[in-house]
Amino acid sequence: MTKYISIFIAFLCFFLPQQSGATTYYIAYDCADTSICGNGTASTTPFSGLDEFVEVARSAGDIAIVKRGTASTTNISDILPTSDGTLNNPIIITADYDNIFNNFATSSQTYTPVQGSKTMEASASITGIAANDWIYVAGDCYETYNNTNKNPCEYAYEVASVSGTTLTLYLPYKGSQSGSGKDLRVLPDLPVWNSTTGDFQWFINQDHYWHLKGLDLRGTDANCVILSSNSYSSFEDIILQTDGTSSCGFNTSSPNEYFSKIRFFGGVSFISALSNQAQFKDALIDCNNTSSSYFINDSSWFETIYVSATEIINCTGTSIGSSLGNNGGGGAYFNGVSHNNTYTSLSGASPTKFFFEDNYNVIGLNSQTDHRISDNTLATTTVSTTTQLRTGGGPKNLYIIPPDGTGNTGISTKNYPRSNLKLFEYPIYTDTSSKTYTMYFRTSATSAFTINPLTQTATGSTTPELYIECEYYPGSDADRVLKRSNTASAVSFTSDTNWYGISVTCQPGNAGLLYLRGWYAKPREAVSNEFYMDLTPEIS
Amino acid sequence: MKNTLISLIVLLLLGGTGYSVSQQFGASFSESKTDAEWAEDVKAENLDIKSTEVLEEMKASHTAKLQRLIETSKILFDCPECVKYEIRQNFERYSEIRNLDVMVEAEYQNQLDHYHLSIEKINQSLERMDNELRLREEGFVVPDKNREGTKTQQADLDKVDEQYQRKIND
Repeated sequence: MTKYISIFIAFLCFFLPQQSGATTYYIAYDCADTSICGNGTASTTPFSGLDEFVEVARSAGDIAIVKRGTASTTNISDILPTSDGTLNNPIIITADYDNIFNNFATSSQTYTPVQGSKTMEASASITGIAANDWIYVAGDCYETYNNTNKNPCEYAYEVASVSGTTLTLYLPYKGSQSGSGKDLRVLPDLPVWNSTTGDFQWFINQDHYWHLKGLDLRGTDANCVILSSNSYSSFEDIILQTDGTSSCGFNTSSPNEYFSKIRFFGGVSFISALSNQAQFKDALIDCNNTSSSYFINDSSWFETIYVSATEIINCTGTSIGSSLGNNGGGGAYFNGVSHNNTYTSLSGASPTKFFFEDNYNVIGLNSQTDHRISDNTLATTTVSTTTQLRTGGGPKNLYIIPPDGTGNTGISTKNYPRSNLKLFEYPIYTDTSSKTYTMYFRTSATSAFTINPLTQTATGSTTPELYIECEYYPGSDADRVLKRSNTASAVSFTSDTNWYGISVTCQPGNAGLLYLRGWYAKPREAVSNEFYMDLTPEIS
Repeated sequence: MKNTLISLIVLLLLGGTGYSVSQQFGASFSESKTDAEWAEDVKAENLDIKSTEVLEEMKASHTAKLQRLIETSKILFDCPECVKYEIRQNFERYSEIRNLDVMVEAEYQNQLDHYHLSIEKINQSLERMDNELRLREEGFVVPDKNREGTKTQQADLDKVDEQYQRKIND
């Protein structure tokens, strides 16, 4: 009996308006089976492969919709686009999210989705859903009959396994539905291109603004499955799988690329040779214990990358790394990244920085790595902690583990601000009254210091070794001013473990933002020089 | 004429960068086509369903693309060893790669092949765009509407056989 399609599937009996100048094409790898392959302009006369869409001239905004549950693994060649999209009108290749090819289904059981969880419990033993199918929960996405645009669905997920009444996804559910009794829409596997042993790749070289959504791309090319150079492309709901020995996922030297809901399996590295800004969100990187495998390989060079809500597992080498010969590394910001890797250090040529927020998926565990050489097992420079809290102070401390070294690692006052370690920066909205800002510090142990950090500027130095500063507008003049604390012997770490305050008084000329910062620049002694800072400023 | 001149200039530039002109085009350039043959040939890239305004945009975009590709790929010819060095750096992280020299050469050749193929394809596309635009200008083919959706007068459509009426879909 055909199950009644509930109101969560919206059918529109008219064409949605399309971007002017853009044409919609259709691709079905299995069209030859029913002798319907054609010129690609209708779902009833689809192209038989990606090449027919990609490797001819296309206009900005053109979109190709690919039938799910099909695979193209023979007669494969490198994919070589030759056209450009634009920022607001990219050229799109997307799997079918609208049931255009009429091969979706609705779940026989109902489910209880839980936000942030990979598992959903079914109302009865699960039928009709298998690993690698995709699902979305009713209400999270919508299907549009004869849609000629990209379906905006963000919350479709790949099924990792089915066992009894438990459905497990590869990525945690982030949709809006909750509670029991939810229908699932079941979508076939993503369309597969190539095999994990096929030596072919996507070569997106100087082809601007392509957007790939819902593709399962495989290959064994030593220069990665996708080589993207100056393409400004974006990737969503992508599966990348390699031969697990010598290949990698992305080789990208493009600025501002965006990766969302990516699953990578089995390769030497997910990213090779990253060289510009990139954002990764909601990804599962599984190196499958490939020998010397990485999230970002050790010879990459990057400016700034942002990684959030990503799981990195079974990568056996230094899974996050950045080193290069001539230029300094950039900054990597990790939010909610969990991993089970065996790596022992983060590598990076100074002044590479790594910031971890909610590290290991532990809420509130925030740390930074700064001024570290490669293979330094003491990678952490600062980390949040709730130990040794100050009576009457804030709920959290920062624990500082100063880096050692005197060359390109370590810290000093000699090259402000680059040679200084920034402890914190707070934007504070304030009025024009005079206020005193105080931060509190204490040593981890009296043995941690043989000489106290200088809290007053010494001759030949630009700044003290431990200080706070505020930056603000002094009046109608547009230039901001900087005022530092500069009081001699403000701390005595060698004599006790008391909390010591360091203060600076500031009076802006205009109401507005004042920036309060803390810095540390004492070259590390033979002892640890580790200390605490109360993260909460005292304002009086 | 202008378009032919531009194409010739591009050919000369490609020759100067080491690109083999004799390898450049397939049969579409070395053989002359009739208008009817061109009217059919352009369908290989779905240019028949693009409005005239979009075709003009595509022509500008692909012309700029061609120049950009030539410029950024000069290093392949000006300094092959530079390219091979980068490739080697990339490969050396893989302890499993054997015959590194052979792999580096193969990858360099691969990039060279990709470059040649891209140039050839873009030029072929430009040639097809030029001819489709020419056929429309000469009235050999007639689009049934423009980019904004304004339909062509039936009297104008009727000037050509149905097979030469372009059903615009953009």
